[in-house]
Amino acid sequence: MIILALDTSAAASAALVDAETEEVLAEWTEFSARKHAELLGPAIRTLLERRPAPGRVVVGVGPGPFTGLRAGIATGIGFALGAGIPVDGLPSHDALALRALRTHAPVSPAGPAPRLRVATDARRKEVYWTEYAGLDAAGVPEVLAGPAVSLPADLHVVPDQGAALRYGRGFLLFPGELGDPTGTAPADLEPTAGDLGIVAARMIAAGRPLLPPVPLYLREPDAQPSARRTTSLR
Amino acid sequence: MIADGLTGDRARGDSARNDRAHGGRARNDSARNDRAHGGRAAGGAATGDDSAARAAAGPLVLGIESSCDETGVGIVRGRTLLTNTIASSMDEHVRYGGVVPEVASRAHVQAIGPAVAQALAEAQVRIEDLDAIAVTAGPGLSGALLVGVSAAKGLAAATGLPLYGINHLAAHVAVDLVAEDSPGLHTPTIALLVSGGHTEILRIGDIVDDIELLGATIDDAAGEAFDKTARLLGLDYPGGPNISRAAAGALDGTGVPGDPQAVRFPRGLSTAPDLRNPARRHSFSFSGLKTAVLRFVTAHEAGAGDRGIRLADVAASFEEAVVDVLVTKTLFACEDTGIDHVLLGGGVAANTRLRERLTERCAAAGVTLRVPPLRLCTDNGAMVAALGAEIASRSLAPSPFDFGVTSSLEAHDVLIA
Repeated sequence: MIILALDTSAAASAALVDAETEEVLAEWTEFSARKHAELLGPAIRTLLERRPAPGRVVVGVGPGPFTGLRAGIATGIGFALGAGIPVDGLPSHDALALRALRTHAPVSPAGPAPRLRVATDARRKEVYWTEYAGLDAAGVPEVLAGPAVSLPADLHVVPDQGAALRYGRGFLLFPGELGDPTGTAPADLEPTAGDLGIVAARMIAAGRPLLPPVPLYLREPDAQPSARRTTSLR
Repeated sequence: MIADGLTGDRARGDSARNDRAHGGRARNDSARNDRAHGGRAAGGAATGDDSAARAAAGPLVLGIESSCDETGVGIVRGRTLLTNTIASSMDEHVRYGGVVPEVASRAHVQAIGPAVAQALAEAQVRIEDLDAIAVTAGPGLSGALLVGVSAAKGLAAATGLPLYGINHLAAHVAVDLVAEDSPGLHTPTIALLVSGGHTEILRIGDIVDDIELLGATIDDAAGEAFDKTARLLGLDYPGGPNISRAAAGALDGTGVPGDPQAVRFPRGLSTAPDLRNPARRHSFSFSGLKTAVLRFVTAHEAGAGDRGIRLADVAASFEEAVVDVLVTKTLFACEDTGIDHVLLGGGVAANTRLRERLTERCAAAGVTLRVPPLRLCTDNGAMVAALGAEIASRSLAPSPFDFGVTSSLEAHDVLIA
């Protein structure tokens, strides 16, 4: 089965992944994207040309800046309805985690799995972060803590802060507080759809439920309830 | 006839899942289906295998609207409305006293999938039967628009259907093409569009090719003025219906309507020099009116002025000031252009006083007034589908697939090209 994976939590990214072989058949990514809605539709059309039709859609549900994030999720929802196939969500940080943990496999299968922290740009001088214990038996990144949003300085006091692997743009933005990023390739800094699709394939193979295609916001809308005014006018 | 098994099952599955967060707020004009089967398109539409009859009935278009707080999906065959599904986030905005863009956007992304699935099921249309998709590209809240445009692009990418990015303002007028009680959209017409986000006077020469903005608000929209003034008066959002109830004397237990002449509130941009200035003659300003109400209310609370003035009087006088300037300037537009038709659209069309005054003044001026059914005046997907069907029937090229949303899209840009 072919998975159409989409992630717009930071980059705008789309990929076709063969769930059986974990092969990324085609992938398109615009890093540090600004115009997710404009770019993603045409990219999907190009991706699908002369390639097998996807049997399900998986969208990265963030965390990430809301507007761009929703562009990918809504596109995935629309595509799934149009194609008559299911759509599910996965945390976008899982894509970076898979990349990190595949690149830095334990020295021996019995050896300790590297600890990993993923931190991405949450704007407002904050980061979205998730900590992972390694890959579980199904090859799926195992979450220790998060996802959450924090000031970089506050992350110092989180227990187990001595992460060995650091993936995501958060480390490039705040190396003083968080340490230098382990990888600095664009796909080490922003989640990409190919990696997300492979996580999805492993989840599906292991019979695990995915998430609904609903954003992980982690912040409430910036709006104050209006104080009710009272008047003596009757 | 229903969507094929896979599509149907899937749509229901997603719908059930999303219902947790958005339960039960989608509503639907199920009565509309009767017309689809009994109206002029019935022969071709009902059987689906008579392509000539189908072509004669016009293109089958799905329209998506998400420019403010309503997630609307409509399906139209030519000039026949098949369904008009709306999920509103209005209730979520009440505690903020107005539409919060981020709250609206969050609601859209939850509602859009179930709304599309429900519209297809209600209209008994399969995705593969559609001829085109239309979506509001602007004007509106950019984050909200983006959800509808993205979903529409996903649908178009999966199906290969042509996608039209269209103008919300033109769609408010085009909806009269599919209103079941409509004599057909008469052109040329003046259109008065009044809502929480819009206050515009348009000259409609042709619904696709010839729309001109004659005037608009330079500050608050009329509906926004109702909301803000309601707050000053201790009334809840949405302000329009609550101010009208207060004006009718329904809130103080007397049932005695307020006197609309009790307080002479200002009419914005209506001085003689304003009316001589072509840039101001058809334009509106409501922020001064809101300030005038605030001044009056605070003075009254401090013990100044006529102690006999009731809340009902203030509400009625405020409503009168808004309605007066809307109606007067609309009739100026008729006079200045020589056009003797007016179409009213937008959520404030629900205001009884506005409809009454517009009816009286149009009749006195020999102008024909058209007010579509109220559920088609508020934001909805049917209006987008109606404009999309009109564009498709003219065989115009789809919008370039990389189009984005334009929060300040101008009225004459009917189709993103």
